[in-house]
Amino acid sequence: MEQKQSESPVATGGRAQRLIEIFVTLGLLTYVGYFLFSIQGLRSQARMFPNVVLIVCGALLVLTLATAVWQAFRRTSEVSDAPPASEQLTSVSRSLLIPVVLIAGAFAIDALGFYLALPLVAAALFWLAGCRPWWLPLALALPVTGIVWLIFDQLVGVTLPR
Amino acid sequence: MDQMLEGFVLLFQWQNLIFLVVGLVLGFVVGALPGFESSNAAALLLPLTLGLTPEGSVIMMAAVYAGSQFGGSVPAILFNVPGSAGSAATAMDGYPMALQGKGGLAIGIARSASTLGGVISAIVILALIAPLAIVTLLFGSPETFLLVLLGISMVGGVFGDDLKKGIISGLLGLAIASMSLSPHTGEARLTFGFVELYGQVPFVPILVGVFGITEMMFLIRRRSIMTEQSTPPSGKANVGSAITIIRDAVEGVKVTLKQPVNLLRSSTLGMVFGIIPGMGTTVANFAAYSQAKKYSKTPEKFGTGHTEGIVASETADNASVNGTMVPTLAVGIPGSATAAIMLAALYLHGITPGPSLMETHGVMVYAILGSLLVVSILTLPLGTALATPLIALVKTPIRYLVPSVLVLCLVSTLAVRGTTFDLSLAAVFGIIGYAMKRAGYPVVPMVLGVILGPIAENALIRSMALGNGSLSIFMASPTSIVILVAFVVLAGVGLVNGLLKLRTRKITEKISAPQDPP
Repeated sequence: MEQKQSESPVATGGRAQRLIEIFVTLGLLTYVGYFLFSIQGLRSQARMFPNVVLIVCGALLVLTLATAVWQAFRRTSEVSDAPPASEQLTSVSRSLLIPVVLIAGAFAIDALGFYLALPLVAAALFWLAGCRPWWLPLALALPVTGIVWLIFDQLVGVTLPR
Repeated sequence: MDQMLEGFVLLFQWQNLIFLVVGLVLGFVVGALPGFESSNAAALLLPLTLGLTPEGSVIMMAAVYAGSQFGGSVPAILFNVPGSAGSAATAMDGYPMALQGKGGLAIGIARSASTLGGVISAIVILALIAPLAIVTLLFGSPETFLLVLLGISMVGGVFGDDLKKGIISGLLGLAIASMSLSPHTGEARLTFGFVELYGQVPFVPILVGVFGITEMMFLIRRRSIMTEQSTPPSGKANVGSAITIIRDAVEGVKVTLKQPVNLLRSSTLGMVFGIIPGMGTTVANFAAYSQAKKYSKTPEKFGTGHTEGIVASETADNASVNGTMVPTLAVGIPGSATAAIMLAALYLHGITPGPSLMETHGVMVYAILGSLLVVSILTLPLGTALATPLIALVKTPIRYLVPSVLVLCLVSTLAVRGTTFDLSLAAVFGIIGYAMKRAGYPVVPMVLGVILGPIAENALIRSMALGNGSLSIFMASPTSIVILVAFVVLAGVGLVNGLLKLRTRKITEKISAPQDPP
């Protein structure tokens, strides 16, 4: 019975969630540790506040990590309603492409200028969100750029990069 | 009293009234879109309000906040999908009414209850803020530092299931806030050599990343805002013609006014839960709903389309928004994410929020509180006029909505400093927010930490200087001791809560474990 449960996609989803928790907690712990290490050479007034915060935060992260590891590897009948791991992976990669497009957009704005890069970024985002056929994202990106120019440049007067 | 009058004079300047109406309509829109919260809209609005006056920008955000509470009731009633967290209890009786073909009336009741809850609580808060301002004069640097930590711990304890994770999130926010030049020695701290991090903490990319990009990363995984289960039988998801809408609005006011005890009880509960940092609208509206059921003459009708349930939920919802403004403006501890963004707006305008805010900017504080009263009154006519467009908005497909909001995120991020570094930073914080949420870490305490970090650091350094390096300075005054006692109570509540959860889990596991045959 237990074997069957651990093989089912539902059980995999529960274990996957724990692994995500461990991975993220480890990442946060690395950041806290590196920050703590990097400020040790500074004068006391500059490091007093981050020191207090980072030491307490680091201790709590270690506790959380230990709890997550213990929960992930103990024998349990805990079930999760998370979708199968393969399905999770597809949707996660779609989500993670959003910041990738935005960072690429930052480089494109530097290289091409704001009003040339914006339609490209907007088209990529529309495509990513599922707008099909291929010409629809481009057709939508152009009026979006126009609206941004009209509202933010002409009406609100926001200074956007050229 | 003079300050209050001056505050109202400031509020009724035509520019401020325009910001208020624009904010209210935006609030309706944001509230009506499930998956969007007022904090998302406030974060995106933040850079665009830089050209406004400080009071103008906060009035606009306060209007978004209050407006989103009524906006959230529209999909809750018609589609059983609460547009905002505070409308969850509204769906319990609103949706059954919609299924009976009385969706328009349910929205009418929600609108008038929102209005009356907002008006009652705004009047009480306007009266309360002056005595509170006197109490805040007792706050020196040690008390301010302890208060910031207490606020973050309280918010951290309420958001999410795990107190530890909430506090970690708040502390991470404080750590992120110190990724800049030290305000005391000018030394760079974990800036990775980026000159862009040498100035003030970059609030806008962080807020846009965590509230805008992270939310879109979750939303893009769904095909539609509405789920199959949430769509009512065809023809029921509308509110009829213009005449029907007006008739339902009038009927809604009549139904609400017939329940004065329910109104007063729910307003009080909403305000109290709003004042406690982190509790906010979700707890308030369920608490008011359950109390209304407890004291009702017909409790069996709750959940079947009973008007008392809608009145209780919506009254408490708007009253809690107004309650949130008390700790935000009186002591600089925001009670919710949207309130935290309002404090960030003050920061960006060069105003330091905190216990001294009432002393230095009393007129502005009264103008902001007065705006809550005006917003509540305007909810009735504007909500009636915009009922039909709001329903159409709920049906917007994700494939158009998500990219449009992301373009707005992009423009908002670039609008402050005009540097593409901020866009990359927002994207990075989008990933951080996404990872934290996936791992069960709430992000609101982190944002609170980022915003309150500079106040906490200054207060700590000053306290240590005052106490000649001794920690006893944090126990030197009665106010400090009261705050420390509150810490102990919070830790005790967290511990008991954790033990109860562990016990419940063990019992559940025992019950669900397969039994060996005898």
